[in-house]
Amino acid sequence: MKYKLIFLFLLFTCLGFQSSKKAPLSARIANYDIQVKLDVEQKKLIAHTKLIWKNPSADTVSDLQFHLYYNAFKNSESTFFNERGLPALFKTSLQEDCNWSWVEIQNMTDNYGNDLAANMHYIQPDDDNKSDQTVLRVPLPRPVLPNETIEVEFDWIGKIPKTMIRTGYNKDFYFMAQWYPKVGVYEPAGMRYAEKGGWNCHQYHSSGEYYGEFGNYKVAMTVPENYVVGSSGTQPNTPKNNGDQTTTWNFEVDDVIDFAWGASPHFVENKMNWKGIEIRLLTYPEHVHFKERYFSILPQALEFFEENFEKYPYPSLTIIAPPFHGIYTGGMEYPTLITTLNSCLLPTGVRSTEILTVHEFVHQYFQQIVATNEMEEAWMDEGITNFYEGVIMDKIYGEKSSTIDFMGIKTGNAESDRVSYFNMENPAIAPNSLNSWEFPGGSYHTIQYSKSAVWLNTLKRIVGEKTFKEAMKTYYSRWKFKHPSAKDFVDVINEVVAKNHPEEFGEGMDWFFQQVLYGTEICDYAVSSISNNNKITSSGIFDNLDECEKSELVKNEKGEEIFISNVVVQRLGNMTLPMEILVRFEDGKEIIEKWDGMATMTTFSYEGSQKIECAEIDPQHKIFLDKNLLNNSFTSKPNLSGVRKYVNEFMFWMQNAMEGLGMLI
Amino acid sequence: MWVLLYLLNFVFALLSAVPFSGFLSKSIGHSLANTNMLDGFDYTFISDLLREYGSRFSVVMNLSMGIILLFFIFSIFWMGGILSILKNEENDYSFRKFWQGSAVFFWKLTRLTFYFTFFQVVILGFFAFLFLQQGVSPFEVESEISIIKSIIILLPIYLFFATIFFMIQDYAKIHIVHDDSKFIFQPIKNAFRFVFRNFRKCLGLYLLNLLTFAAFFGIYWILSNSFNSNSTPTIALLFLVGQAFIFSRIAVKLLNLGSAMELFQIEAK
Ligand SMILES: [Zn+2]
Repeated sequence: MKYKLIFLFLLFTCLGFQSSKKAPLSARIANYDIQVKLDVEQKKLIAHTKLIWKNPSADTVSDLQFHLYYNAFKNSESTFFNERGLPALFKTSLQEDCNWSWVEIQNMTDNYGNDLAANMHYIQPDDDNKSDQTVLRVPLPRPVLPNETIEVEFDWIGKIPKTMIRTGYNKDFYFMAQWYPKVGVYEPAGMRYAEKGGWNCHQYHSSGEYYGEFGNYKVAMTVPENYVVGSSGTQPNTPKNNGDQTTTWNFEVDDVIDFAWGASPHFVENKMNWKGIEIRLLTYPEHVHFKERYFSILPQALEFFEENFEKYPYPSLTIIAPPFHGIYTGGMEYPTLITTLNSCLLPTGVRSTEILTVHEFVHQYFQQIVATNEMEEAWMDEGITNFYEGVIMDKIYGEKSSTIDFMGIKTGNAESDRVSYFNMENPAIAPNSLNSWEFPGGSYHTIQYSKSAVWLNTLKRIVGEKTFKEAMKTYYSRWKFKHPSAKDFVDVINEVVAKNHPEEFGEGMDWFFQQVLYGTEICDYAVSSISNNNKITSSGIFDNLDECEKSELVKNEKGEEIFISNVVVQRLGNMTLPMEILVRFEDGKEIIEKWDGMATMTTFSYEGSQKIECAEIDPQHKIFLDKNLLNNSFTSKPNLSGVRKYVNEFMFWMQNAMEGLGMLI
Repeated sequence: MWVLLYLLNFVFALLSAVPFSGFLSKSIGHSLANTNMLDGFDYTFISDLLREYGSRFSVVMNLSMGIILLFFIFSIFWMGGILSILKNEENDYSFRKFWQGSAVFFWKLTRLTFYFTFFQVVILGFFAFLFLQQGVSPFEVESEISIIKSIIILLPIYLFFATIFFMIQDYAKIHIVHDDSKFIFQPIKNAFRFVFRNFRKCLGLYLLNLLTFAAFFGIYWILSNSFNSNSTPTIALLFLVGQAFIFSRIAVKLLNLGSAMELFQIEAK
């Protein structure tokens, strides 16, 4: 009996142990243990980091490379400021008050006791700008062997910027992003585009965000005792008062690529639980009433991703809504932590709170879990995220009113992407495939966010919703907790499309990606005219000079006149896509024509007793990428009801404008 | 006179509506997208229209701006006529009197318009300066609440001052047709004096007229939003409702001037 009991006890203990210790989600390459003290007087972070880094390759790695992001704000010649220029708002603070910020590693040793600080030096892999100190190379006296682990410890100080882009302090609000020396991503041969193993550790540029390695984080923040901390991860214990007017907060999170936190004495905390996930909202008192909006939209986004991909895999999600004086830190995504923006100046119908919440949440999947390289292929996180932001917002609020619905002005989310892309001065200025810092003329944002969302939308409609959903889910499950490249994305889409539609798309969609992702082609198809002419017999003099044949109307056996009808379609852009054309006759009969879309002009001709009433290219509205949707259809008779309505309104506003100006008399 | 003013307004607006209609028919008259316009504001439609046919549209818009300016100058012109008729000393309501008044007072009223526009710009600039002094950037203010607060405090005060000046301008116009002085400074001075002497009456009357205007606008707003103008009959109905509003707007303008004239004549006796 006893033995049996002991056996059962052991069995259950083992099972219990098994179930509580899940397999790691990621390879856990870069693991951090950080103790940091926030000095609110000096605006400094005083910290100690222990980094455990695992060599993921079969190479012997002889150096480590770190991002020192705060050094982007160290001098006016950094690559960040060279590309952006000193922001006007900060000029006095930087140039006169010398409020530059920086991060300095004071010492560094490895687990063999080697001093690593002696030979560390800045490098500039992107532009050779010697004034840029955002990448630090640390040569290792004892290299890291294949699959071996190294432990590195160092003390460091960070001078916090006054809310610069995404991070910093203003008054007593602190938001710490890119705040710690962060190791780059070592890409083994075969990963993404790497032919041989090496560090992928870009300088900090004006455009483009991050690329991080997966790992576990344990962070202890010591802050003034009246401060509340919001952070990535969860708290293993309650904050501990140190008795010196400071409190230490502990946070932990596994399998993430980055870690961010914020602190302020004014944060008001609200919590909710969604299927076991703790959602923590930190706002300023004047924004507490936004709580309902966050707690209503976020579960809907979580639900969407659970339905279309997989359940959100972390135990917590924190939202920090910065105050007005902290707005430069808002609207960003970090693992299990997002920052949004809200303003009492904006009416509810302007849905920026919801949009930012959804957008930054989608990044948890595309950027954090599918951890793409934002410096090299930003469309893979911003474009895909913007696309799903549109899908979710349009689904909830309607596709014509999901961004703004205020005083009769309505705009949709996905349509706004299309409008901003085509309203660019030159929508063909750059392909999506450039490095973030290479985009000319400030085109980074619109091309990477809006254009990508527009072509993803088009792709969805071309291959069909079901296939697209399957392809995206496959992409997600194959590449979650890894680092895919654009090529990996294209491969998955091609694989699923070729499987589901072998006849229609053959090998897949390379022809499409070549134009939209790697190319700058513009799509514009148009129905340019319709003609309906009576068929007449031939006329003139043929064999006999004395016999002149006169033309006559040709009629069918029912005595109806016969028409020769033509529809002329044109390709006005340089993008070529297969097209469908719907031709409707006056008796309601419809014909769908298929066209490969290659020629610059094509005519479809018909002969019969019915005239063509109208023709429409892309009748199912699949080609969201079409630059001018107004020329996609043509009616043989003018269709003026809409015109009348607008003329009426125009006239009314003119009359009011004239009377309004008359008030000055 | 009321009908005449309405007709003038209508004809001028029509002058720009015709090219606008031509622009729309030419750009999208054959497009099925045309019907998108029937459902009201459509962002995609409007953006595509302005982007793809914008150069033609800007010609129409420039023309319309020109027409508005031209109408403005004409409005100054026939303001003299309106005031002559309203003055109504000889019970002469003829066109001759109207045009004569228009011609006689045109130059004086132009100068008056210029001066009072200048006053309005100064008042607006002053309040904008006060508003910006409170700070609007995230580095200047604690939260947007302080921006909202300064709007709540400054806006009514600004509106009050702007209203006072609009009101004084009305009485200055009346003084111009009554005083018949060579310079307009005298009528302006007299108008200030008159308004401050009879401040409560003047303001009460002005506010009453403003309220009448607000009531007409309210009626228009309710009526125009009570149906969806997506078919030819409903578009025609919306047109009629709109024109009724313009008609009432002109009526309020005349009512305002007429009642001010009346008040002036009573108080001046
Ligand atoms: Zn984003």
